[in-house]
Amino acid sequence: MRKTLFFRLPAMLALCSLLSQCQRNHPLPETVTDYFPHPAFLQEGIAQKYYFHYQRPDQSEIWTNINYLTYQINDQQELIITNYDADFTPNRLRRVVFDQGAMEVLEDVQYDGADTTRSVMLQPIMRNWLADTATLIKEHKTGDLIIQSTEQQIQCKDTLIENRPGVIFYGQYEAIRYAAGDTTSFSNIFTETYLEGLGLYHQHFQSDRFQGKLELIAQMPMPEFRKQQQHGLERVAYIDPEHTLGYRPDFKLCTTTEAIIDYYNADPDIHYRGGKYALWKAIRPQLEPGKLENASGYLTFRFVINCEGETGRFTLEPADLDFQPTQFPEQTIAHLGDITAGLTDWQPGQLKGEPADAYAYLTYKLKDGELVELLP
Amino acid sequence: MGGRHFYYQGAVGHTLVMQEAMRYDPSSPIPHRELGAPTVKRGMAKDFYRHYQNAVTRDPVEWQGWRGYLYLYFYRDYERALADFQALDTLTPNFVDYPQATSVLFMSGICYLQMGQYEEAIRFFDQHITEELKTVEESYIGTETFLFKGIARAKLADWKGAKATFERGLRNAEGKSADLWFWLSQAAAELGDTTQAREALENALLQFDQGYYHDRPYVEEFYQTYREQLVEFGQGL
Repeated sequence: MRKTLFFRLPAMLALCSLLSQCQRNHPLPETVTDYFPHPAFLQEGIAQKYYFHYQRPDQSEIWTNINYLTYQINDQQELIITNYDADFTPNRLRRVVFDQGAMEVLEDVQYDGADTTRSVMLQPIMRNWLADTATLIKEHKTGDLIIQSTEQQIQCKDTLIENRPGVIFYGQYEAIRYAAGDTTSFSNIFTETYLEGLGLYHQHFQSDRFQGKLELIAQMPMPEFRKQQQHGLERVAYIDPEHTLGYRPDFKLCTTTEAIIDYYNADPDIHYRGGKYALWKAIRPQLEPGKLENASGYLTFRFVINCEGETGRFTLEPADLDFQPTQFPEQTIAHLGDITAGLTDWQPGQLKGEPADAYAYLTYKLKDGELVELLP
Repeated sequence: MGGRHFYYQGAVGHTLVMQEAMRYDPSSPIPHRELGAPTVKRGMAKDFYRHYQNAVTRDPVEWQGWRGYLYLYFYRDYERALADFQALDTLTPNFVDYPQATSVLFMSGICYLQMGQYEEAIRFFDQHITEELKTVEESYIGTETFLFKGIARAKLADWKGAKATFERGLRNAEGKSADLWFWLSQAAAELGDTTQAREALENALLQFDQGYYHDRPYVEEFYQTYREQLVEFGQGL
């Protein structure tokens, strides 16, 4: 995959040369500037794509994630480094400035869903290109939890990777968590490589609990990154509230659309009270065989059960008995839709003790106009 | 490429990592299976089929039996489930496969039971018992085996044989099975022993209230027992 990165570089460097003719002074000193993307790109903003490989020492857990990072100079001539998850959601923002070779962190903010955590900088120098050592100590508080972390650069060495000059930082990291009188700590050692024109190229973390490796896969201009960020994807089984079957128009969530969980994640489990036995008893007397016509297939109604056990946001998921797209007779859909929307004995659930709304579904398996199964 | 331990299954990040994994290694079945898993649990039959078909095509030994398990439990499609179990058996001759930690002999027995081929169902449950006894004692064999085998006998109107099978299951389970007590009650009632039927039903209710009944995550168990069902049956005794 690294081919992708270098394949893109010549075109980017050509553009770089054009841009450099009109570049302004930028905030990275000469000793550092070579190890970041070209100043013109930093002004415009540039995105880097990484793979993060994680594994436990016993190999019991091995996975790879996609991360993104963007570099951009702001109006105050500070470098803004923003990290993103694979779904392009920002998870961290750091605002840094340089004094000679020293990289000073002015601000470090972490994002987790709707939560924002801002660290207080106790010692702000994260890296130093002109010295072996640098120390970053920061502290942040979330509720009763206080985390103080220390990141120490202990050595800085020149390197050459694929004929590209660079610098490797060696360091150690320690985080101490204080919570309700209990103190725990975590530490690792790391190396971090910056390469000419690329910025952060590689990181390696090692502790007794895991090892992680971050590798640069591709660089892209900001407009391309923004385009990828607009992927338009939703979670699997998302129901667009603007496009439903229209049952229960007054249906209200207890939480938000983003917070809707799945029926199997709730505690207690979300289900029809009395289970399938009660469901058959509720549905069978209402069935009008004529309205099932001669239909065959899986006619699934997906919907949301709110924290009060009310249902809404109904949508249809039809498939034939060969699991292919199909259309059911309008009369059959309306009949089974009416029955489904009329079911009222749903057991609502909670998540971590808080009221929860959940996606659920009910499938009518039909064979030649006969209801043969209710699923799941 | 993984990512499944980092993102909630079916979340946008999970989908994007799996799509990347497909580009990285088009021959790997894993991302297809990973994308298929949430569609199974969330009622999306067409997507289930597409993703698992892709996984099976890439590694039938690993995924064909697993898909058969899904056909059986999530879609109640016994013909397709059997076809997958038989195809897997052809790929792994002289070996009993356990997709999703469940014996294909046992699951084939359920398929035949549900298709109304009771003698064939009994043959597979017996094969499953024989196979298990090579490595474990009978008390380690899941009580569902004796429940379903007994039900197959009952469907053949062999209530005496059914009763003996339920009793055998109850001995193995030390009486801790509402399902087996309930079916023993039905067998006793069919054989005209109302006293035993009532006693067995009492035990069924007791065991049910203590949580000793079969259910499954995501889907209903075959012949799952419900309390209301026990109470209603008792009213007819």
